[in-house]
Amino acid sequence: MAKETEIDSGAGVDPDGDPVVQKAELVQALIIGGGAVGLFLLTFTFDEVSESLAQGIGPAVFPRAILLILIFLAVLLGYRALKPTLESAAKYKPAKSIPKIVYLSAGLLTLFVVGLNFIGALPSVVVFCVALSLLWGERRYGLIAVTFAIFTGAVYLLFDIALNTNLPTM
Amino acid sequence: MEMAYQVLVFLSDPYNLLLIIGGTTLGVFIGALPGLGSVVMIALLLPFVVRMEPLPGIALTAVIYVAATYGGSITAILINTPGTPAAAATTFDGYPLAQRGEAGRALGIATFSSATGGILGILAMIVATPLLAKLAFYFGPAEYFALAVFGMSMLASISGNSVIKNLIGGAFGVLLGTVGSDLATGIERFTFDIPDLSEGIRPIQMMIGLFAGGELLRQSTQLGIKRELVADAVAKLPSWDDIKRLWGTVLRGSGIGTFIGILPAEGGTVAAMIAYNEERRWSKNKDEFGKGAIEGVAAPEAANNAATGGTMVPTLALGIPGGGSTAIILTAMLVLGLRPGPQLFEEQPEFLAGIFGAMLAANIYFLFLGMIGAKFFSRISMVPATFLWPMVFVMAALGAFSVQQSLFDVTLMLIFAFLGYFMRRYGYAPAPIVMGLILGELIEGSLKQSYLIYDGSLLAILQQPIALVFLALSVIGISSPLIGKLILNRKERMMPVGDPLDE
Repeated sequence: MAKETEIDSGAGVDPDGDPVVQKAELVQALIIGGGAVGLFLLTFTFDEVSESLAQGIGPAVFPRAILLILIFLAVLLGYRALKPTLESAAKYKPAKSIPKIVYLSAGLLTLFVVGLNFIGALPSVVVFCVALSLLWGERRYGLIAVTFAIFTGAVYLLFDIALNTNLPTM
Repeated sequence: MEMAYQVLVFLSDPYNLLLIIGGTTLGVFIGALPGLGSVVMIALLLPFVVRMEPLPGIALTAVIYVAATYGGSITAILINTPGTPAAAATTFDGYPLAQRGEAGRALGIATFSSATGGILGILAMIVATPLLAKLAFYFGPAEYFALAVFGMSMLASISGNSVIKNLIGGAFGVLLGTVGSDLATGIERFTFDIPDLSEGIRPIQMMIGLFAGGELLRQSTQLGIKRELVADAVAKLPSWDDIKRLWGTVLRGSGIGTFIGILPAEGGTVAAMIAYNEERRWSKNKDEFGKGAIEGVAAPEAANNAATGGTMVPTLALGIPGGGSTAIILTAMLVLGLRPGPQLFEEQPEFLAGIFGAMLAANIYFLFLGMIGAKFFSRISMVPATFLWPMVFVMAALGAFSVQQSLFDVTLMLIFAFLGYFMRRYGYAPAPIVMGLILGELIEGSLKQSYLIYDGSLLAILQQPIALVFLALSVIGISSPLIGKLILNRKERMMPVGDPLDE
């Protein structure tokens, strides 16, 4: 059902057996490096430390050091993607598109979290469990009804009664 | 003697015994469910554990860690799917044994080896933890800084993943630790004017999202995979002949597991793979491996369970997690106000005795549980994902909410769930982030203290002998994959053409 579809078969080695650019790794390097550079620049917007507290290492120094390390690692990742060794080319798996089921499942997770705010916890639990189960191909409706009814009751007992959590309500 | 007495006191409390029995049963159950392992389960339990008394709470997580590590072997043998990553090596010979009708024998050997390895690992932990903690009396900020850097450097040597990606994960975790108000100055860092971020990224919500939420999305791509139970077996006690044949294997596996476990950032998965490879390397019957050699079941099972004791050593003695599960256990300890290290041994010896006792008892209990319940636990692995995972996510989300009754926490958990999925998809293990988050605070704090102590000269850290040793080990740790490759290349060059490389 949720088979991953291959969209990029240009990775690994070319017809002459030479390693070719690993596009997915290069994109990762660019995202990580770009993000780190952006955050590095952001450290210059941190509030100034008052003189009475300005002793020792300032609050921006350590994050900057870590971000520089991240930038260095992203450059290394990018370099390896541009100039892969034969060994890494042999191991390299072509990039595949993310299956639709992942997006749909992620959408349901998001709706569940949004639902907690608007319709309350217990209705959200029921709707989410049934919807995800159906989305994933379950068709034993009776079993779905019984299982998730019992589970919702257990959630109520555990969180509301035993742990005294004020679960979100409508 | 004092320790033994305190262990007995802990075990004589019916509440504690009930906790051990319940935790071990739950742990084996969780271990037998592919996708759910000790890391996911302990992360899911964190919101409940932090409401418990410290000793029973941490003992429960430790017991689940031990039992889930064993539980993974059941499905590895019967359906060729390791319940936990640590049981991956067990499939190599466990499943072929089951296929040829010896599933009961394989299960018995796995149970016996796991329990023996686990008990030996814990005995080593009882001896090594206080010794290591005593060493920590000589530690100041410089030494703690170097030790935490050493812990991070070990991420480079975790096998199976890219060194660079592990280090990126670790650095990202350290960076996450800087989010929130700076403790010394109160200056806000990376909070984006979100008041909920002022106190920093909450580790419990982050871990629940990364491990449980990320795994749910991964599971959505595994729905077509059919699992078949190759045998419906009851574990059989190993025969005397098998025990005579395996005792050396179990001892070697236990030794490797304990040692690998003690190294920061390594863990049961690495230990099991190394133990399997070493057993095959030195075996007189190399050809049997992969086809159903009983040594191929005993070695990784002894090693991964011995590693549970080993990984607790640096966690309890120094506050440096030995692996993914112990990183979460350490988080729970910190949230409960327990600071690992020599003070813990001085001030609360009963706490450590309780943890030792709980883990020992769990190993003994799963020996019986595995023998009588393997058939039941193997069927649990057939629970459909369509029912299991919706429930797991609900527990994750409401657990994340329940700690501070905050919907922001649930949103944070969700963001980390997406991050966890994408990380795994592109070859970034989530455990280094957790290691980074925990060790990052230690690194920054001790670095700042050292700066003040040594009047702004950070080079003075290198003049502290213990710190220097750890920093030197860190350099070796980071360069170890490179050194390994150089040695291999050299070996290849020196080998006459046509000679097959030794596996």
